[in-house]
Amino acid sequence: MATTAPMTANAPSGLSRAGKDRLGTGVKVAIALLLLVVTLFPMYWIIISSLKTNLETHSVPVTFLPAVWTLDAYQEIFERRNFAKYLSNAMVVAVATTLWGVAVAAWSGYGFARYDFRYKGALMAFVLIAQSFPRILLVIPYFELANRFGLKDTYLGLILAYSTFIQPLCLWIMKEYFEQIPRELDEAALVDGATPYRAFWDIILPLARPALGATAIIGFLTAWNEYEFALVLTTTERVRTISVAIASFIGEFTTEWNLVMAAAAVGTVPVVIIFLFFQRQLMHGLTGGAVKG
Amino acid sequence: MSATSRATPLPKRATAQRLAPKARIHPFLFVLPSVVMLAVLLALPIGQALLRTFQSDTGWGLDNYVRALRDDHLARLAIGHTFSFAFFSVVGQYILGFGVALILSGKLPFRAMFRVLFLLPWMFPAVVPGIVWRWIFDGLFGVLNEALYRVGYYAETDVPIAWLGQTSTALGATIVANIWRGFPFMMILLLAGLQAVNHELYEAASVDGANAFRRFRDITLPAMKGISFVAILLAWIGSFMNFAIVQVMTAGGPANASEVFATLVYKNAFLYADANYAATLGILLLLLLMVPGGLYVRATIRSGRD
Repeated sequence: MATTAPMTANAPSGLSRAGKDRLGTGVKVAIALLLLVVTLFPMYWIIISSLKTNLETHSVPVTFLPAVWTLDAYQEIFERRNFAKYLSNAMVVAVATTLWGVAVAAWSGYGFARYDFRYKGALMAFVLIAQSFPRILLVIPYFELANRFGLKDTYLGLILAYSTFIQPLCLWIMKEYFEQIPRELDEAALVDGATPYRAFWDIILPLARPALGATAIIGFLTAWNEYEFALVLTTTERVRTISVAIASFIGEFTTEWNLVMAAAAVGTVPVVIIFLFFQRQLMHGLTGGAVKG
Repeated sequence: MSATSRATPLPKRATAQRLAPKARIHPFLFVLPSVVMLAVLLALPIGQALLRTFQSDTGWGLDNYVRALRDDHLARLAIGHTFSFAFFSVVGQYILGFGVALILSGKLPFRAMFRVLFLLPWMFPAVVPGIVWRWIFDGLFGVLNEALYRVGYYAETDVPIAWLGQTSTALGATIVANIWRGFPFMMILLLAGLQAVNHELYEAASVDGANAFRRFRDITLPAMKGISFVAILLAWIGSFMNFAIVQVMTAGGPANASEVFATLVYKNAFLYADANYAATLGILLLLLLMVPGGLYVRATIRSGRD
């Protein structure tokens, strides 16, 4: 790495080792900042565009700060486009899916973390496959089944559909967490005569409370961000989620970009806040257990 | 967590036997609720989709597959686009993700803050990257063209490029958006890998007079092979079945220039109302994912055994 100066330090050209270190760090900070500006620019652009008037978004030259700052777009989407409803729909579906998913995931994740049994490898593979199954294939039969069983435009329909990927996701993360809890703890309980279920409920689950929280947040964010199922299984605003509402603003001929950007901001701000607030707890689970840590 | 201190774990098999002295039923009572539920939620719909692929107007048969593999030039086009989309996305995400991970793995002020901020695009709702990049790439009022004007790329009389409206650039633009969304995930995986590299190796190599490039080539790269493999597979799978970004940015257009497999499945199912053929395309997409998916599953389950 650039900053690890050679141990045999005969620093050339008058720079002391410390000076070279500082130079290296300065260059790295500069590169990091530059990349960060590029990375965050789209976010900046969402906010800025949402604070312009519709006229200004359709004018040249494009302005990097609004000529007229206005909250019109936000007023419009909340007062006339029913965005409070879409937000609450997304909230209901994401919370319900997550609660159910985490409950089942904790129970089953413990089994995967603690036992060796027949077909374990195959069942784990099944969970992993379910977690990253191509949703665009699933939406076709789900659309049909939802129609047949009256689950279209219902919370239950979306919750069942979301469970196909939220539940395996939560299960895998919980399994990884459980594996970090020393086995001696369950064993002590078993030696004392507890059933495995008691050991799980009384000893392990309380220890795993932070993991449950982290897993729930990841499940919630993943469900909140979903698009395919929500697009296909909702036809009215009754259960339509924020993602579908944002995308539906794109018009075939004209698009009111200040509204679209305000919608995008409203859909994104909650997840960004949750993420910033809990990022320390989330880091491990975010990779879906792909990295031990 | 309070209990993460890894006390030396007992050998797994011995423990398992001791945990289940009486009944072998315990593990199944734990894992079955999940597995059964998932099986119902997945097997029934997939079975239904699979049945559909053998149905067409003329009755039962392989018509849909013949059509997809031989007659439908759009399907061929979409396969090509999907491979390009996935390939260039993964290359871009890997280079960018590795670069940022390298910067963040060393000594750096505000490292934790940088790490969090770089991760943000990964947290966005799936439609938002497509939405915002569509707006950035807008031909008339997009900020990209504005920037290109200001740096003198366009002459006064030039017509600005309609990035999403012309066949030569539409797919590339969607790839840019997908790289932006996906590289943070690559970064966080590779960063975890970099932090696990044994630092004494670097010290030793430095003593032996290896420069930064040689240390990178001979220590960092080999040590990152395993995690890179998993990260690239995950990025490939995610990009290969991506729907939201392309759908929102171009919906496969113009003139199918950015049509990928997922958007073609959606079109057939919900615009052309041909669910049988859409399901067939979906099953083909699944088949194309089986090799990377299988490798990913194997690598993940194996790493759990270590």
